[in-house]
Amino acid sequence: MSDPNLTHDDEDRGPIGIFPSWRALYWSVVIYTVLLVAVLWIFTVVFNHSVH
Amino acid sequence: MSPIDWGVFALYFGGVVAFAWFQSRKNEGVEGYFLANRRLPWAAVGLSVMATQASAITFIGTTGQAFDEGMEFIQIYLPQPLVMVLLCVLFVPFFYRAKVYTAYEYLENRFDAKTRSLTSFLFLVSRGLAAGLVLYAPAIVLSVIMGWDETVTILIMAAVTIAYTLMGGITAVIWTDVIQMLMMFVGIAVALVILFTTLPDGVGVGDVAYIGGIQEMWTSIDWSWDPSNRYTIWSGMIGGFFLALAYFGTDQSQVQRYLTASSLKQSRLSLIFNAFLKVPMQFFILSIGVLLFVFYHFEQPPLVFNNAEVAVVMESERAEEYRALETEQATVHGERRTATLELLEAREARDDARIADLQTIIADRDERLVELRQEAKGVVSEVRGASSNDVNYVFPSYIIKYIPVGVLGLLIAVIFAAAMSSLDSELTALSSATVIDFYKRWFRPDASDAHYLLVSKLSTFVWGVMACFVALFAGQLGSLIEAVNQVGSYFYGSLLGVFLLAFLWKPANGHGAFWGLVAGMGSVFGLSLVTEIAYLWFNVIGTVAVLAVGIAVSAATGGPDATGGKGAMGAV
Repeated sequence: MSDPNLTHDDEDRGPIGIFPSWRALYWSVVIYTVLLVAVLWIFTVVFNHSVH
Repeated sequence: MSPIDWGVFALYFGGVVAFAWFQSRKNEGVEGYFLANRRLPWAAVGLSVMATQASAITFIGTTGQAFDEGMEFIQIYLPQPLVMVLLCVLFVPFFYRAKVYTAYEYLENRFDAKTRSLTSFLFLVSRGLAAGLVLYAPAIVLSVIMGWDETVTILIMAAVTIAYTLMGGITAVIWTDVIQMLMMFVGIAVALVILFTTLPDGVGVGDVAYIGGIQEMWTSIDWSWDPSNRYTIWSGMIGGFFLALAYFGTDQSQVQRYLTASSLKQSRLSLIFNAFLKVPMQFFILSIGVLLFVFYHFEQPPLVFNNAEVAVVMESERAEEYRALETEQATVHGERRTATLELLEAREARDDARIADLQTIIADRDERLVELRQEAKGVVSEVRGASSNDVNYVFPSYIIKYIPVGVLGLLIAVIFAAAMSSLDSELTALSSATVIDFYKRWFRPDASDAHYLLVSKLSTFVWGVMACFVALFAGQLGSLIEAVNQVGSYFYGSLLGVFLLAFLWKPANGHGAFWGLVAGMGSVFGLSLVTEIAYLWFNVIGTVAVLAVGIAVSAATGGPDATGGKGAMGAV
């Protein structure tokens, strides 16, 4: 159970695993999404062998 | 299925049910039944979130869709990582700190009782229908494998699932989901490996990629702006964003999951876990469909994959016509197979001129085979008097015929277990909304915990029966995965609009939220009748309509204090 004396701000502070903060973690997800789109676009172009 | 497959199936199925029974002993009271006493770790919650979304429909409908249309469906999943971030920042803190049982309970604190009741009612309608479709998917597999009538199959599946859900409660459901999800990962990997091993000798990964590329089956990003085109990067990133935000942020079947976490941090981590894993998982599932497309370049596929539908045609006056289509398919497929094998040799010899000629032949035969399939499905539809949902039978048809003994039982078990865990979750969510938002709120606000627990289990049973009725009519819908999303799209955008109004617009009041919701749904239904806009855009339209009307009505009716709500931060 979470500590009832813990404030909201306390839960938002500090490192989250290998990430220094929640903000860093969220930005890593945003960058990850951009990379996903880029990789899939490359995938689309490289593996398009349409004769049309 | 062989006795070994039945043994594997029974072992896994029995094990999951026994595990659910073991976990059910930990249930204590309504909070235990619906929220696991808010003590679960993020990994379990995260896997449960993923398992709830990825049901048997994901395996059956999505792979079939990729077989017919390629990878483009993945675009709908691309915004999900961003959605998870927004949920962590905006939605989860409000829900978690409000200590609510349902997402809609929060809306009464923020707005008023009528807004809570209407949103909860919409959830019950849309999710009640979706629960029926989730039940229908594994029933298809069972009917194909065992030759049972789908109605009988649905009834048997429903009975087992309802009993399992009543026994479980959310603790059992989530821990069972963990097992189901891990098994799904194994099932995806096994299916991909088996597909490669059933290709002819010498056909490698590069060859598979090349053959699929001739028909643009690997196309994952479509930049076109056509709003009637169902899957583009824009409909995916915008329409899919709103759909996913509405689903994960306002659908009780998901909100209930992250409310069971032991802290706000654990809730957030469960969603971030999904942010990183969901798209890769969906990529591999869709790849199974494209691999099937390539596989059937070397093995002749059925013209129509639904054996039951074909049997009806063969008993009709159109049987000869159908046989003629089959004969032509065999000829064209043979030509394509020969050209494909020659293409592989030409690639090895680096004979570019020959490669170009063979690509043209393969593309030409591909197009004719697609036309023949459409003609055959047209015959089936005319004979049956209903559209063919053949796409949902593609993957089951493959695993029955080509998967080795033992592995078949495992894959069938994975599909069933996945479906049951999703249905479990939905029945629990439907039950919580019914009991907390209606029964306790309007009829018996002061009853004992034991009474509510009893009513909760009774409600679970009733919703299970309702899902059963919906499932009996699901066969008339198209691809199941689209059907589920379409049902949601009629309501989800408007539901999302109400929650965004609550979180983001401090002057909003209950009148604004309620009439905004009505206007949002009216807009979606109206536009769906008079335009050809792809269903993903309904979510955007509904959300925008609710926000516009909600803000205007709130301003016209006296601001935040007009309906007795506690204001933007009142419930936190």
